[in-house]
Amino acid sequence: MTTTTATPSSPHTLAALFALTRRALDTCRRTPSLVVGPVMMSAFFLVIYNGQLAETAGVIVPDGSYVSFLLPLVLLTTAFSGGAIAGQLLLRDLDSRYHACLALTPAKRGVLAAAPTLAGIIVITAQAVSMILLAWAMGLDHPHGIVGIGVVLGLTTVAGTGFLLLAATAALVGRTVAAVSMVTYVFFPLSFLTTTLVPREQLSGWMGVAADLNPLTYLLGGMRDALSPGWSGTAFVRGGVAATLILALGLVAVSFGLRSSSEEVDR
Amino acid sequence: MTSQPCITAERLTKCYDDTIAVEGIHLEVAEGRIACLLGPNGSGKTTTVGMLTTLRRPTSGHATVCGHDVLTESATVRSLVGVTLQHTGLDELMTGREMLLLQGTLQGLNTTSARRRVEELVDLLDLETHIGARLGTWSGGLRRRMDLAAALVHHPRVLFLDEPTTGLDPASRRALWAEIKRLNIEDGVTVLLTTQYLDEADHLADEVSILANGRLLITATPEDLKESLGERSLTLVLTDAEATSRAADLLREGRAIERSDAQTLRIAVERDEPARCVAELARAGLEITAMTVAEPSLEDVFLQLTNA
Repeated sequence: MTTTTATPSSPHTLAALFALTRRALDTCRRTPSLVVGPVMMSAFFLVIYNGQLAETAGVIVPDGSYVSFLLPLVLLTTAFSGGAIAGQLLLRDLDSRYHACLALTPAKRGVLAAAPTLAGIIVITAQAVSMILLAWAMGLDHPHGIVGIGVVLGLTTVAGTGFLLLAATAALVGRTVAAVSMVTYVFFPLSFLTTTLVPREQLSGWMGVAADLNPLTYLLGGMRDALSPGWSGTAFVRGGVAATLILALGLVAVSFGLRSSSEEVDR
Repeated sequence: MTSQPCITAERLTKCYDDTIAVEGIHLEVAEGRIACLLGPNGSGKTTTVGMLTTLRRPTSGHATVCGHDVLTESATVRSLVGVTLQHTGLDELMTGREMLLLQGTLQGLNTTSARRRVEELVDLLDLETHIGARLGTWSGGLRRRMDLAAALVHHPRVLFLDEPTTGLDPASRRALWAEIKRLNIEDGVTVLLTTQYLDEADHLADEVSILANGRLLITATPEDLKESLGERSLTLVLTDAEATSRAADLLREGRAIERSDAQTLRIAVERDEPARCVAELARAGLEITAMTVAEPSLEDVFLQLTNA
């Protein structure tokens, strides 16, 4: 039989990234539990919190709807629970040893970690959009129109990407479900030691101090500000800095994780 | 004609904390040859392949594949080699065709070339009826063939096969052996395979390197290895138990004798000794009813070298 003689060359980084990201998205599509769980949990929080607390919302947030106040928190919950997706995808490949098969190609090792992260960003963004649509159906205020919604979505995605990278690092270094889950456990208490259900001015004592130290407070502040009638640049900048810090933390962690994992791909 | 060395390793060493997995291995495989790393579990075969294929970083030493350093030119090495690992790594949610196309893309083939190559491999490895199904539904033998197809998608110059037939049924084993031979002879692919099966090494390899406890004990052709052992196994069947005992007494001096049953003796003899033994028994009036002389096997060499 005649065989083709096309000579292989190093793959173009973008071609490899595109092919691997498409595969990661196919995996998400074929494993609905990876995607549906975080969305259901966030939708549950939004509906239940709003149902139980909306009556007293007039006292808590006198100048807006409580759904608008809750949405940023729900979006961060979506990002943090869904953000584990990059770690889970990497872990799946490490467990099945398919990661070693991919690492035996000339594709850059960074691309192997970037693809599930990119797929995670797409999934998180889609999840966030679905939460915004649900909130809109429940009476979301959007005084700044598409710009305000875009800011909220952007801050969610930037912080979510940082979290995706942290989860990917946990998978590369720890190589266990427990290691990936631990990242979620770290962020879970942080999402309560902040302005979870009430604004900062209504928190006092140790709770107020904890909220001031928690970067999520500023992230939530920036997002809530974009959904409020009076838009303060300071809150937006603080929110942007907090999101960027989480992203930077993720980038530093994943570069360490890649160095560590490239030492021994097939442990 | 002397072929260029295709795979070289000099003082290649790998340590994990206090454990030395591979120690100072020297290896040279000429282009177009089939070389075999033979050794018991934990002898360092997989670690050696891991270092040569860039999956593991050597603690010390130096190795090249097709003239490229495995540490400093790892991407080039990966584009030249095809590898099947001991434990088949497949994504069970992908179909066979999806996985091969992805491998082709990652190896730098454009979409058209990758599609054409996938169809060739499907034809070559007889995967047609399964290629559209998810890999999670494939049998062990099919997975091995798929693993080989993934390793061949980019026309590698060197093929590393880590225990490629472990867990396969005899028919699948034979089929894989035939394919490895074909790739070597028709396509000129250099092959380095590891195995625990001595018959596999005997059947496939141009040269065999025996490893034990992370060290390379010897490298030679299977024939030279057997020749080096010198001894043959002489089996004699005599008429009755008494004659067998007398024969054992006569031939015992300087030779290892094992009495298999009442009338059968197995004697380790030098190459020229069988005829002398028979003559000696004839002079003593002992009748031999059956006799076989067996050449030493690779197993005999292996057992002697590894003190197993």
